[in-house]
Amino acid sequence: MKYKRDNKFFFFIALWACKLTQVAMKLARKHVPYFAGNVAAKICPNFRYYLNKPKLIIAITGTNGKSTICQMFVDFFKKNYLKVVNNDGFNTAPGVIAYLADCVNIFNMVTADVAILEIDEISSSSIFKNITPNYMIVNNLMRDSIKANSTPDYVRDRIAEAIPEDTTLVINADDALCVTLGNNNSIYYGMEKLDEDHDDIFNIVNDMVLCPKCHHKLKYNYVKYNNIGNYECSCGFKRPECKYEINMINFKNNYFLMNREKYDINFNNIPNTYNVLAVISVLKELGYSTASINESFEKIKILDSRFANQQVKGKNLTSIMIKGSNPNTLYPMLKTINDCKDSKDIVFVFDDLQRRKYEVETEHWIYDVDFELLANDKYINKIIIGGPRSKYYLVRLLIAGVDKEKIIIVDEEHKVIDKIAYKDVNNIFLSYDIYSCDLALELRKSIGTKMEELG
Amino acid sequence: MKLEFLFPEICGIYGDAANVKYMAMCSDNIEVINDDFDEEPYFVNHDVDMIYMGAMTEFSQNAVIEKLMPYKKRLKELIDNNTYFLMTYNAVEVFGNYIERSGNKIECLGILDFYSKYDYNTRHNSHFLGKFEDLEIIGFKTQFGMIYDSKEKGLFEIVKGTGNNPKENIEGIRKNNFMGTYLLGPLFIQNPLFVKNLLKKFGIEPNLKFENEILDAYTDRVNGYKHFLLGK
Repeated sequence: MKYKRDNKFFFFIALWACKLTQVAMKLARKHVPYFAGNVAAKICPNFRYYLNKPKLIIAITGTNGKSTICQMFVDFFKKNYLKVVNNDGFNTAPGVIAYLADCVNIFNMVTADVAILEIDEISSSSIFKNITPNYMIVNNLMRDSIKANSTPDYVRDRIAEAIPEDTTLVINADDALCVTLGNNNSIYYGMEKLDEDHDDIFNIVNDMVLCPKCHHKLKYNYVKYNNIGNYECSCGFKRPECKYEINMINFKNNYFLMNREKYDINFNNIPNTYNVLAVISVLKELGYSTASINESFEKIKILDSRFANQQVKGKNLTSIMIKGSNPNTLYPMLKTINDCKDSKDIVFVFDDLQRRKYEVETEHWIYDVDFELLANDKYINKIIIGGPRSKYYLVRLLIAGVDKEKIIIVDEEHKVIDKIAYKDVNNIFLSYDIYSCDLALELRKSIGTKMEELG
Repeated sequence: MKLEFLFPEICGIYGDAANVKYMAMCSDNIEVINDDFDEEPYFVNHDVDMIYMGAMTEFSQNAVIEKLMPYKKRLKELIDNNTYFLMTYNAVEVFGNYIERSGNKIECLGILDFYSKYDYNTRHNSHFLGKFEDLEIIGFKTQFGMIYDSKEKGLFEIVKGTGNNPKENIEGIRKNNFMGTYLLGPLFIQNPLFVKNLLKKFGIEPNLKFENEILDAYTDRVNGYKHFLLGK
């Protein structure tokens, strides 16, 4: 489409306005890059067409793991002395535009080596106009906030209509819905069967029941969690061959083998393993060696704000972040708790602190969460739920089969601190919503102090 | 009481499956029959007391329409003979005349007289406060599709919120004992008095499982809805 302001003159005005806006925002201590992106787009609607781009653009999309994957790329490229720009979670079109503008100077000369772009799945079509990533990772497509994203099928369709022709897709082969996006040039990553895999679906959530080709039920040969695993149908649809495949994982000794080569890690769950595998797959495509990947990552870690374990007087305090309205993010948390075969108290603070100020929260998603895992766990001393909606979680846990005597509810989150049986348990698990990180830090500190005093 | 759950593998997403789970917990006299999608549904050759089908993806919905089409006469017969049906979220659309989606017109079972239309440019999200007979009903709506031109009765009276479409003042569909609503999620758990009402209709003693806790949560929830929706 041709606009009146569709020329280089307006482009440079837009570029300088975008950069000035970014500077003004920084001085005002306001981090709203999408505002700068909107300014640029208003002045020159075809801004992206004229904007020079770095030689390497890696896009990451999917339901879970985008930020973790982006951060890993940023860490890697920085350690390898490349100038990298990342859109920092501002994953809709205006945010992407603002950060791509950071990749050039005021003369539109490229100064960044790499752009790492986290892409909001629903916004894909508005982002990829005149932007062609070299690689795009599609890590998983799962049930998320139905208000924002509708169903995984809808999200898949939005991505499908937006994929640039020249972009190489790097796809999680173990997620059948992601695989439906693939083409002849796609690269697949996945995991072989592991000892801990299940023979069939075992979670409440299974977002890929029917074969996308023939509508019959897919057969699962092994399952890691939800519908992630090895699948096939009598019509011929099946999990594709992987170019990058994990052969074995040893969480206890902190490593896994991919294509028979060893990678050191410092986390212990399968979803994060997929995040790491996605990163390594692209780095391998770029020609980096296993040694340089291991050296750069120095035992691949996950962001402390999402998972942290601290020892206080010989006892463990583990903090795990989840995303409310996204039941899949709770399974790794519940499994981590379930895998702990020692006395424990569990604290849940899941209320969406932002949303509850102005609307009634929806609770349908908690019935997609596998709280049944807690039902027969004999090592649980108490489950303490804090927040105004703790009564709804109480009902959910009762329906899940948890013993009523083990559940304590308090209407305000800070009250959980005094309900923990510090002397009676060796482990405390604190799980919190993504929008409650500040609250979680406060609680962690207070619980840690109590553990020092009473533990 | 025989409660048939149509295709639970694909038709109970976003918490809808909890409706059947909870209802079954309320009495030892409820037998739940789960229909496997690859098999013939139980109702084809058997009488049941109630049939439930819940939320599904659009892809699954296409498959479900194709699956149920050979049995539409039998379904109509059951509805005409006052078998109870509860269809939640987009399950209700399957029983209408057609669905308009992305420029395609998908023929549906045609048992109830309405059509559904999707607008993918507008995601409707709202909370709902309504009435069913004397009972206060609360719920949540999130959808691209809406029901239009319905010649059937509504299910819930609206106190605050959106009906079948923004211009309608009824929510849901009611014909004989067929009940359909766009309210999503654990409707029974969020509205325990509605479950009690339903259990009584089947001659089952309406003792709710975890009655104290669930009624406490319900009161809390209704007050919350009234506060946010009505300013009370």
